Amino acid sequence: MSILSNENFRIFLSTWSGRAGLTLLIILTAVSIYTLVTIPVPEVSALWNDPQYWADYPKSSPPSWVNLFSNRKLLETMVFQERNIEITGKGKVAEFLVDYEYDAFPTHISLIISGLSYTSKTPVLTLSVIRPDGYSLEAAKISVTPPRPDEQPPYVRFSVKPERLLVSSSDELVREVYKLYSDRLDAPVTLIRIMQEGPQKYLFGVPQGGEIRPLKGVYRFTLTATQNEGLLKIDSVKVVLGGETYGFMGTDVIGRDLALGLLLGFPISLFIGVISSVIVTGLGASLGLVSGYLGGKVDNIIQRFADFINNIPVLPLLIFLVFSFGAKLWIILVAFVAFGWPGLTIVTRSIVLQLRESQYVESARAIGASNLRILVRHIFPSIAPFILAQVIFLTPSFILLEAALSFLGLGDPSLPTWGQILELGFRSAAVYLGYWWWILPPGILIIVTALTFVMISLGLEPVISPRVRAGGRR
Amino acid sequence: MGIYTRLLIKAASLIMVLLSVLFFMIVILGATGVSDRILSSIVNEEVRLYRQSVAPQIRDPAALEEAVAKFREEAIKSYGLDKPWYERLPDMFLRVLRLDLGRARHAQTFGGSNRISDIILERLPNTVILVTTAIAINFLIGIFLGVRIAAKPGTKLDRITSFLSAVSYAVPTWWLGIIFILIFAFYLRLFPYGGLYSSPAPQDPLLRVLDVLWHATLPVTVLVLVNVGLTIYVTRTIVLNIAQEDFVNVARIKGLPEGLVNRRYIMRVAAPPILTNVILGLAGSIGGAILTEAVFSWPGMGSLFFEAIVQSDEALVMSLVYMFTLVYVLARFILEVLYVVVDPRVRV
Repeated sequence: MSILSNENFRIFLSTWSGRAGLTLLIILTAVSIYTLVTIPVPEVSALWNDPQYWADYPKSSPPSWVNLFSNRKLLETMVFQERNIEITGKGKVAEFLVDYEYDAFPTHISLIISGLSYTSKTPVLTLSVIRPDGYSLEAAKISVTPPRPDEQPPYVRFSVKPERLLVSSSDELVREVYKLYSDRLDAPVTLIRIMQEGPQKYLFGVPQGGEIRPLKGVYRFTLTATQNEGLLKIDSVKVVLGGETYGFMGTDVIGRDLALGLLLGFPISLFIGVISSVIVTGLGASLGLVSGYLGGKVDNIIQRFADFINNIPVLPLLIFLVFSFGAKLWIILVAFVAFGWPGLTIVTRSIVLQLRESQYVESARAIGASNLRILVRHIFPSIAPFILAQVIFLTPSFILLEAALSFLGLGDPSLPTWGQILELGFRSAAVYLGYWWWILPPGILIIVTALTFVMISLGLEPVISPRVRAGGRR
Repeated sequence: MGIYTRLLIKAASLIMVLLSVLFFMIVILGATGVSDRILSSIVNEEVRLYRQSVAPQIRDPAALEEAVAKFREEAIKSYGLDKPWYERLPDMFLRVLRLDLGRARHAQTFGGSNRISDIILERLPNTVILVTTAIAINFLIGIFLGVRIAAKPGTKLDRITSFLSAVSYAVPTWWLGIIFILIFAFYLRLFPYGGLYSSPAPQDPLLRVLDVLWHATLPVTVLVLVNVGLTIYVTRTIVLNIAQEDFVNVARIKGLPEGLVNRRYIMRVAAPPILTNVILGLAGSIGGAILTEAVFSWPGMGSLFFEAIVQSDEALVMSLVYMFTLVYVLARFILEVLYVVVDPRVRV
């Protein structure tokens, strides 16, 4: 009877742990597939480790939904972007409407332009802001480098490295804000105070009873080309208003969007767990098969070796191996396999020893079947359910082991994993500062993933219990 | 086979494990060129000390350079750095056995010494205290509850424990430690964030002990919580299997009091396999302790391991792997002796 028969599946589903495990597995797989399809993993993994890319994200910010649970409305980080802009001559390049309904001021404002090209006269770009009360300010000016003497049009700028302008520390904005408050709002402030507190506070504020209160309403951010002739192309214009919260899962100390890192962790974690488990089980079971069936010298050598590795404290040596060969994914996998196989070899051997004496094996031998044929056709099928159960049973231990290694700083740095997110969190004192959004989700995801396989394992127990019992006794 | 022969064989095989692990490590370090780096940093240190000691006596700079160069050459020869790594194996082997691996890069003892052997010997007792306390509490609770639950199999309590032990298998010790710090140290402010003593440590010996206990509460609780589920479950299963044997039923039918049946007929038989589980769980506890110490900055070998990795201090990492294996092998042997005491069958 095949392990995958409908009857077995029905038994499996009749246990609630089986149902729960299967549901979780489907969810985990779905999220992993979604991640792999929607996110180009290699590129995003590279971006993940590039602090430049995250410069405009708020650092160590809680997720935006904390506002639902608190009275004081924390400012969400707002990102506005327009792509693939083409204009001819002077005129409006991009416009963003900012609906501002918060009780706090942005931590910073920045403007990022990437991939600009122009054909004749060098353009000058100006960012201006119209406040809800109708006053207009010129916030920043970007001058593009003029063509070099030998350069041919189109002149490409900001394509390798995007131009990032911190609007909230630009002299233009400080001066404009100063003029606005002294000339129009009739509440003069000193230049020094504006610079100290940041002009963005005054840009989004209004004097009220001796202090500056946020002015709520719609702000219109406009980027115009004040000088240009011919065709002007821009790949992307981005305006970021830095806040105290970000996105669905918050950010870490570098400003990285934790939602992205957590999402990338799904396929990586599943991959490491399942692939190590499959290889370890495959190797362990085949050595056990050979050892139990052939007996004699081969058996002796394999069993001595398995005993030896079984007697070693695994984690210190695992750390040692990854430490001396470097934290690369394949080295971690090899180390898992090197220390993982013995337990299964010993158990498989004891089952095979019993099977070897069974009548059907004896009769197969009597009609002259070769050793290989007996192993593959007669012995393997009867231990296959046990092996399948072992693959599932071992998977969580490798998921946990990889997380532990990552936490010790020995994870493959090119792949963001949950363990590594926790490691940085621990090392940058997130625990001592109470950054729960950084510490809780990765750990919960590790537990849920490991638990999925534990549940399936429990659900499989009634399906293969005779084998498990035969194997459990040493 | 006599008891002593049996213990002797066990001791020999455990020593073999230790030596093989050492050998394996040294080969890897040699082949990857790490042992070269460790030895040359020891040589550089000695040359530096030599230069300091002879500088006042030799005035002529050229003569000084010559003397230093000569000393360096001798040091290189005496450490075998002029030979390929495989010819140096026996020497390196003895060096590790004696923990004679020079100085740590950053780690220090409280006294300020940075010799690796000093640091490790200072940290070793802290780890042993933490791990033995946790293992002892774990097995006291585990065996007590396991036996209790085995008396009423199939009840709600039984099912809940089985489920919780499955869940606790999926919880990483170190993450639970972080969460405990977040809850009990950060939000509730009941326990310290980590360390062994408050600073400054109390002078009064009694207060000092209480202070250590206060600091040890969270790490020990975490280590126990993560492991106790499995201990309860395993104990329950072993006791349950034995309680269903015929000789137990016969004892009950004979009318022996329940307490006597439990003690003499069930526990007596269940003790050896339970002890086997203690032995098997040891490796896991040591691994868990490395991470738990790191999380709670408990100044033992585990947090030293964490520091050594961060500072990529190769000599320190190697010494620690050796010490962990040594501690593990010793603990295995002690349990092996206990096993002989508990199980009369092996004494026959």
